[in-house]
Amino acid sequence: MTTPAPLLSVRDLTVEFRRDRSWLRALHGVSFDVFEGETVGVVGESGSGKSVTVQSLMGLLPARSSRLAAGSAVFAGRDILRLPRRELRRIRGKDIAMVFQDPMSSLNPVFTVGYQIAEAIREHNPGLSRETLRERTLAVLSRVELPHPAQAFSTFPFQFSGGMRQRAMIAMAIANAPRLLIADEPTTALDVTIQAQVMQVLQQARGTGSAMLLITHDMGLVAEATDRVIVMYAGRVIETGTTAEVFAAPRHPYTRGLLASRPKLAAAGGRLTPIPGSPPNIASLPGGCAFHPRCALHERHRDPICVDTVPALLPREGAGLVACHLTHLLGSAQREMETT
Amino acid sequence: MARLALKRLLAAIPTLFGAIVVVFFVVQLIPGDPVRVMLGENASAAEVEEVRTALGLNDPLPVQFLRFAGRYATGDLGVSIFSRQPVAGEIAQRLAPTVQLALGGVLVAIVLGVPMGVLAAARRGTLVDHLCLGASTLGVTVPNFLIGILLSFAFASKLGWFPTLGAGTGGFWSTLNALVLPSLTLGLAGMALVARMTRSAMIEALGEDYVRTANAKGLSQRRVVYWHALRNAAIPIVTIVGLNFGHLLGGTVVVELIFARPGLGKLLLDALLARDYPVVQGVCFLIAVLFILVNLIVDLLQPLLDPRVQP
Repeated sequence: MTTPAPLLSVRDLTVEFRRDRSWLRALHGVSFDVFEGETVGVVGESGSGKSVTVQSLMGLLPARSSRLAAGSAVFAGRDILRLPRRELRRIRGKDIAMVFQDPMSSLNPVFTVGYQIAEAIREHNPGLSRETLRERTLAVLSRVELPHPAQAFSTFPFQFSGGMRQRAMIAMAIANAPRLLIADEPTTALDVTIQAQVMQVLQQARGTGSAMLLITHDMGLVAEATDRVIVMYAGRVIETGTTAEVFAAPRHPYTRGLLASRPKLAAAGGRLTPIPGSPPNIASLPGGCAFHPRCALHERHRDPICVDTVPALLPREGAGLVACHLTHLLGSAQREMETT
Repeated sequence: MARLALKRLLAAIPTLFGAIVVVFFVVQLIPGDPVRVMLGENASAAEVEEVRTALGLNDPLPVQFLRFAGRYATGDLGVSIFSRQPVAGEIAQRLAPTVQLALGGVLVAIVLGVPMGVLAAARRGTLVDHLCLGASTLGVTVPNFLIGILLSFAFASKLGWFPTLGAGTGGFWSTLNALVLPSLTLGLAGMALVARMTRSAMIEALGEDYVRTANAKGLSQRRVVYWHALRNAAIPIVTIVGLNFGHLLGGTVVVELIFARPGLGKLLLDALLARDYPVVQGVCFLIAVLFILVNLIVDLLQPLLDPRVQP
């Protein structure tokens, strides 16, 4: 069996931001694939480059203060990082659509929800009659399970609750049946009680036809919703693999830290296990492996290679990749951790 | 909407009363005896006293004020000392040129100021932005009498495109033609202000998340800037234009003088120089009424521009 060509193939994506008179590198050669119909999670702490990655794919980074230093992103046969603006516009909102984190600020406050969804449909289907446009908008609104679609149509965003706003956002994104849906922390700004509902709507409404890139720092969400996972740290991919394998046997100390820091019901009342230290500042990244100052493995083994050399992404056991010099030492460490 | 209009109208009543109070007492502060002015230097003391009593000027101030306010409340603005004509009639004759001028000024401010501000915001930090900012700084700092004289010199005296003086000979095109230079003179300062306001409101709007959403939908840059962002920026812009209207009305006095337009400003100035107090009071009151009216309109526009403002 030959592997099918990926829907989206990102290679060596390198993005820089201007600070004062110099350029700071936010992404250092990020590569990954998304295949037709699958859900891929992208996880990492704030500042790890998750959002920058997807926004650069959509051409949404500020033109004046950011630049593409290297890399390509081939979507359906074309490099979307180098498309003329006009061509990119045809893909945005049609073939690739996006759901943003904060539905309050992401919806235009002065237009009705129906208008904003209809606008997305009309942009990519010029010549639709008013009635057809309205019908299709109402159909999309009922797909995200908004009660009383006709009423929701003429409602302003501020009259909606947070969950309903995010449903409206999802409706706008799926309106043109995109082949790739990018959801950038779609539940982070919502009440915990409705996060699951909104996630369910997102999964159902997009249907089977589209692939999804789910950006989150919620490992629970990744476990539930994704087929594969990409772990990012300081602007690099440090581990990838199927969600099942990565969760069962993380091969990078950082991934392991992320998984260990999840609150667990079984350990109710116990203390959370944090990753020591804080995410690095991209203006002054540590040399070698950017994670080494916070790494338990490095602390134990003090291997100078961690400080000197950036680890390459190499095949790990199973179907994934990992970028850690000391990953071979991790097995014993895991047993160690489990016994304590 | 009707309820909001009614509420705002009722709220305007105390403001109107305040305007009457100010108009009445300010004239009391002006030194000199209006009757002496009226009758001339040769009148005898007895004559003056007689007229004073006849006009009720010997009554205590509160009594005079109540009488004055009562007259104003019924729309009677008194009689001009010089022309012996009702003040209301004099104002009515002079109203049209001034309202035309004020509207022309607002139009210039909006039609030139808004696109300039949008352009500057969309091209922030570029040469276009700096040029727009420079032009608007010039517009704010150069006094309008100088702008008026320069415009009049260049386009009326030298090129002869527009009349130097007057409000036209009556026809529509003649009126419009005579309105161009005065409107520009009056509107340029407003344009500068509107351009600056638009620029900052647009810069804020363009940084909002909903603009990113609009881009992610695949909308054209023009639609994102001129529809999604400007529609939001319009809210503070309209407020500023409304607030600035009073300033603009004040400017009409100078502009009407430069272009010899027979408007309210000219009437006010002539009346002041002649100490024709009833006319001064009437014109000031009317300007206050116009100002209140414009603010009312701005208030009523808010819920139309911003659905979050409950009517």
